[in-house]
Amino acid sequence: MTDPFDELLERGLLDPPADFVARVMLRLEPRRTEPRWRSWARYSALVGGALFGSAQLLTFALAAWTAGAAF
Amino acid sequence: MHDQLISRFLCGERAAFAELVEHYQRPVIAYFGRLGLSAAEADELAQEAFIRVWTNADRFDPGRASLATWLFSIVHHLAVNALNRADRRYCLPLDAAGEAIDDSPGPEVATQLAERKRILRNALRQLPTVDRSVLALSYFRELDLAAIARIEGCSEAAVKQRLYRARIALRRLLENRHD
Amino acid sequence: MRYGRIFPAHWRAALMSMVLPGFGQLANGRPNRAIWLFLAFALISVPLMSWLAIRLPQAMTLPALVSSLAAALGIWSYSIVDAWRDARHRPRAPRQVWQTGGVYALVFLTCNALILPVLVSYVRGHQVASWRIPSSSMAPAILRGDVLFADMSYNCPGCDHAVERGDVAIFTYPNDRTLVYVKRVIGLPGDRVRITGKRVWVNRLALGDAPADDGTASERIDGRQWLADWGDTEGAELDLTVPPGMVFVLGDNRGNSKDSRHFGSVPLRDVAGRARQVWFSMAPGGAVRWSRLGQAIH
Repeated sequence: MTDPFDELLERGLLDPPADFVARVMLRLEPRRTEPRWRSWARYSALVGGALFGSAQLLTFALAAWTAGAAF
Repeated sequence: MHDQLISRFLCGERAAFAELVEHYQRPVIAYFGRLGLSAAEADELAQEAFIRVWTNADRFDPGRASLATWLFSIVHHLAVNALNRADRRYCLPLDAAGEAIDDSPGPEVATQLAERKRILRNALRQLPTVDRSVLALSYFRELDLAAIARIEGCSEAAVKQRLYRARIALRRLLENRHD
Repeated sequence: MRYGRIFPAHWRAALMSMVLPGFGQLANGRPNRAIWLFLAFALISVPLMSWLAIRLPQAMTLPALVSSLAAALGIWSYSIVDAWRDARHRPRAPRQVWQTGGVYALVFLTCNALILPVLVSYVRGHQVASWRIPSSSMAPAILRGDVLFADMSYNCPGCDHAVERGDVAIFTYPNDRTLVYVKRVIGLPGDRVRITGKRVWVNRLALGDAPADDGTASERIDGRQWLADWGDTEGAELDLTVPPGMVFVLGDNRGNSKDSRHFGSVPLRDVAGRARQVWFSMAPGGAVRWSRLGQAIH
């Protein structure tokens, strides 16, 4: 590739307009913040899942020790 | 980028986001430029990309990818859509619209520069989209091979191959153009 | 998975490994490690060790199962700690294409709702099962309040042991199939069993002498020996040939046992296991009988 072209590619052919940042900032809308209950729901779903899963695993690990009654 | 700046942005601080836009505007616009898009399109798509970054900030997981990788995934997605929408390169105006506002050098230098840009852009537009995109990404230093592979959704080996192919093809196009 | 800032990656990985060994490694993008951890937990720990437990000498059942439990819990804890540490050291691990919520849900359901329950029912049905004994019908071999392991690889095609005279068998109670009984096998199909007073004959062979003054008599057959307690029962008169496909069972506590003398012979196919070893024992008052822990049942 010839040098001037390589230089052009490196620079990227286009430059950002001077007011680019300002225009982007003008178009921003206030960000949707996640409702508090959703993060709580997520958090408790995970903790609940962990408890449930751990209970399942313990049942498995203790399978040999879980006794039925034999008269 | 500084982790502190990123976390301030993630917390919703507009000033931090403005700094990020400031930092990334040049590479993003340059990427669109290397794809052969016009200045107007590049400006529109870049704005759209940064607005998506802001509104979808909760989807960014710093543990998974760098901010640059995530940003360029969005940018890449928009670019591919735009190129598809334009029904491949042939429908894009093959002129120098909007690029000659480079007013720093003298008039004849400017004309020469504009001419070179036109030649380069026409050559780029003849490259297949995937190759062109890899080539365009490869000039941004914050993205390594692995990051480009993730953005493109292909293997690192494929990135290398596309890059090689794109460079060869571009050189050939430019040399033919010169003659 | 978009709870990156509510849950740091290492917390999430540790939690996921708590739910399923290897699950956190999956989230950390290490599928191979995840698979090995899950396999180690699921296969090597419980099924393999209980397989060993029923093949080791009888008194080794308890130690083998305790070490299997320790191994299972150890692998599980290692998986949690490893997931935590790995996620902390590689916070920028790239997300792979397969790392999606759907894949996680599928893996969780397959492992936790399919593979593990199937393994549990296999182990309990075909290898080792635990039984609590709420009656004293088998005293003095088994006391009321004993909890014991039974070898469930017993009396089935491909199983290691067929039913033999003198086995302490676990079987379905023929008159109420929701109940499980534990009694000693005295007569096999075709055997002639005769009870006169406080003595038992099988095929004209006396199991033991007349009981001593305290009502106990040492009985033996086919190289097995045990103590029968006739107490102060009247004894009974009985003479029968065990029908084909049936077994005749008696409780060792002859004075206080509901067995084949009452409900007749038991279908052989209902005999599921044989008692091996006591692993826990609690007297009716609530005191632990430490001396019975690990006691083999003969």
